[in-house]
Amino acid sequence: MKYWKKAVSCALAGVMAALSLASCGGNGDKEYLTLEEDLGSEVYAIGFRVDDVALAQEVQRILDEMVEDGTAAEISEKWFGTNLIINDQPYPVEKEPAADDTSLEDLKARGEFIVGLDDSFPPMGFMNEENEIVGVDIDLAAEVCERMGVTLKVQPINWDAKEMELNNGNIDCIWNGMTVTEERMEAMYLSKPYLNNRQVVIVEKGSGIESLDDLEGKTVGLQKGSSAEQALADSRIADKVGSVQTYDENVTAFMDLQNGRIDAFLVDEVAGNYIVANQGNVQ
Amino acid sequence: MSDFLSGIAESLRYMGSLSVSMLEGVKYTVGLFVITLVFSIPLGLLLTLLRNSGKKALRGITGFYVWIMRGTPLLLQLFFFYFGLPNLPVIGDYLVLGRFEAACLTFVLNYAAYFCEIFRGGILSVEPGQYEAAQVLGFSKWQTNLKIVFPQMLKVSLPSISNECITLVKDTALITAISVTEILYFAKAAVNRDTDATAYVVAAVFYLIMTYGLTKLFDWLEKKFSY
Repeated sequence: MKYWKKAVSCALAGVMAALSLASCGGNGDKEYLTLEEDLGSEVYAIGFRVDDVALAQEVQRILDEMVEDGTAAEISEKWFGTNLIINDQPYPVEKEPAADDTSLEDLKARGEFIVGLDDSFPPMGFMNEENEIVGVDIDLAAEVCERMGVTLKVQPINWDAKEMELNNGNIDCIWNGMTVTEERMEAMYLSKPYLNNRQVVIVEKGSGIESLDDLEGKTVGLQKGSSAEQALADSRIADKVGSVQTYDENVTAFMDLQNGRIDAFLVDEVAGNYIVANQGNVQ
Repeated sequence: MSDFLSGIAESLRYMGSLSVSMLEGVKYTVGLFVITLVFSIPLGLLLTLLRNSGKKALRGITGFYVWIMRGTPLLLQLFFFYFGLPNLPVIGDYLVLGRFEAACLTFVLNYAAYFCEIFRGGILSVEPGQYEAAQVLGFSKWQTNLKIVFPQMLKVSLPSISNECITLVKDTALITAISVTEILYFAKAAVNRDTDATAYVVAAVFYLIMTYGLTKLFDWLEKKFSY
């Protein structure tokens, strides 16, 4: 009886090792490319509660300062190798703080700035090997907090629930490579755009898909609630694609592209570049 | 061949480093497991007593409770207690629970309903003759319950309790949906960072180890209770 159990556990361990080894090599040799034509160009901004105008404008003032003294450019170069920070666009919605807006005083009294993010978005915000959340947005937020004299708390959230987390007061802002959209302009008070971004289409090399029109009748995958979803809906191919498969995370959408369950992967250029560059790098 | 071996060594080292980072998630998984059991078993027992009580209203209320908790998905209940409660009118502002607190509350209330049904089944299996004998011997209602009904109920219920505990270990993975940093959460973080699915395998091993320990524990308990 004992030997039988040992044999089974050895067999199990063997199967697992084999599976994990197989998963390394299996899809690694495929190559991917980004279509030249994109689904539109957009910008990233930070989202605050609709009424927290005073807080938002103080954060923006410090960000402007960081752009001027070069700190923001340094952070961008550290992660992207080039300066992608922009600071020449107005607030998506112009607004003055209300007379009873105590958001900034409240935050300073609390001494803690809680930044909400979906930490599955490298290189904007993600978890490193030491279980620390790092990334472009984290570096920017940390510098803002230091200059504001408060401590930074990074709170991972489920991207689907970001508006609820914000309005329930669990977080003070969403700072996570968030694309400016019409809906978000209504649901939140947005900072000035701080980064340029494109919505791109990633396909397997040699798949025959070379332009947006080739997506006719194909299955495309994207992150649920992402701006790629919006960009697709607004594009001229919205009614032509065969079906749209949505995922909780960008990386699972990419894995399905590797496995051939979808023909194209629609994603922010920043996130897409990281995922494609990083696939198969571990082993 | 040496390429193959060094590939395996590299994989094992990667899995090892993943395990170290996932250990941090174990405290929430185990914490939720222990808290759920400690509170939901007594609550389940209380519900069983109410469900078997002579008062029709009490029977109705507990029946309704069990119907709601068993009849809706656990994930939905989790969303309700975490996101839904703060949106209630008037009292909503006082019901903003922390992530882990909301998870514990949901699991305790949900599992209590299941335990209630498990215990009820156990009590039903106690023969009517046992009650009659207790009455003849002059046992009070409480004495009958504590000394005669409960021990027999427990023995009959053990396999179902064991089953429920193992389900509980796996259900803890649901709380990643409200961003509690448990094992699966760290696995997903690693998959995102490395674009590699190995972390899922490592997470599976963590769950298997825990369920294996539980299986052994309940084997031992069943032997102890085999009177």
